[in-house]
Amino acid sequence: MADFIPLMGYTPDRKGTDDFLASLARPTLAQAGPDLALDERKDVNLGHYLLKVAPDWKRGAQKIGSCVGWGWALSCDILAACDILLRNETESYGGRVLEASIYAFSRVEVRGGRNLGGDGSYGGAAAKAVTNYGTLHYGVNYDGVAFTDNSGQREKEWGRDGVPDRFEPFAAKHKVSSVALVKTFEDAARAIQNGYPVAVCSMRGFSMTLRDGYLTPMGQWAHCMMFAGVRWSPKPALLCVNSWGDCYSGSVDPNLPPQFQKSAGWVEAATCTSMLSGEDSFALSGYAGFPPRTLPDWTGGVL
Amino acid sequence: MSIGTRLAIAFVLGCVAAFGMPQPKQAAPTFLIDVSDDMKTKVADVARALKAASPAERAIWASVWEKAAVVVASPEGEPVVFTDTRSLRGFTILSLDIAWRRLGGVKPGQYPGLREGVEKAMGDVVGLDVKPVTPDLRRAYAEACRAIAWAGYGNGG
Repeated sequence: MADFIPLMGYTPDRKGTDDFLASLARPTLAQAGPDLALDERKDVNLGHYLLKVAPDWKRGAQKIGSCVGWGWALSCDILAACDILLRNETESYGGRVLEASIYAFSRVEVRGGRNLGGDGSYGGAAAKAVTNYGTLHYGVNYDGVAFTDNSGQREKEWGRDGVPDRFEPFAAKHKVSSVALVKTFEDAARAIQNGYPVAVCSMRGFSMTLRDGYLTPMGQWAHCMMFAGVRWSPKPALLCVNSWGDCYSGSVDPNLPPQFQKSAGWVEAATCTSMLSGEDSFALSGYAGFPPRTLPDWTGGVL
Repeated sequence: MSIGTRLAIAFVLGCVAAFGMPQPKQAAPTFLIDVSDDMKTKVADVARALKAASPAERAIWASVWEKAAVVVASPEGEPVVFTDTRSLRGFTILSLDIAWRRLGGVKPGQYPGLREGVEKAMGDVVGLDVKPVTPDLRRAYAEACRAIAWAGYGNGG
């Protein structure tokens, strides 16, 4: 068995998510993207795009009940990569989104005050966080401060008191322009095939042992993860990426990039629809990335 | 510099070691690879700048650019060597520095207009954006390299 700590942190808030959905002009994917096509022969793994812009990427592990921050941060990272490589947007990849920023915005700023409760958040709050407040990134210099480590303490403190005010203007430069509720496997597959990742919050648990790369439903997890891929054979399924590092054992899918083989697993279509029926999972689109950077020249003074 | 880039540079140097430096008294060989009319236009300044170069220098020039094209245009599915255009630029500079300046003995500025010609060609074809090295970008880079090599053989000026 891989070495991991199975922390979760999904705390559903039906009214909170419904209130957020009511604020959207087109709350569901069917309304927001009626023209998105679904091709039942086309396999897609958006993780490949992430690895193109971030070849050294490796899935980290949450240290407190901040899964909502982790599921949504990876969704933002993959969205940023797809914006660059699939949609040819003139921007550059600025590094990983700091999970603590989404987690804290979703717990404090979105709800309007300090949060003295236990760990955890929910999908609707994270959706509002990334669209209204934005995201911070690892490695970026914010007036002399750069976040380089995966700190549970930071997530704990920010999850209680919110993102420090001085960082909020930086976060506001990198928002997600829109989110749409995803309710079925087909919705999610349609979004992914068109380059839009899906952050999924559900109560579905799984065995930690992969079977040919597939996850077997087992028990309950109050957990947020994200869907990054779709495949149609041998069984239609979505690739569900966890936030517990290389946590899975068993027989992996050797066709996945190594970084995803033990950190993610394929979830069969019916189980996906069951997870999404909780109506707290969202497809993301339109990431405000970093300005394009340019090279000084090609020859560096040699000629 | 990444290990991949170091390996790529090692490959270029290995080619030089395996096939040796061109003989000074040989005439520059005929260049047989097709270069499009559009690309010929883009590298015209390179050809003009190298008009006064010796056959040996032209052969070195063409060789290093040809081999750079081969290295970068490796088949799809092979491990990623160049992650973005920054690493591609580093490879280009180091290859030129070793083959053209150190082994070839050509000083910076010795051929007026050469730097500007190469910068213009690379800028037109590949651009100056820092971006991931996609298959399309690898093809564009290789095409530019082959055209710059072609110009070095005494064509187009």
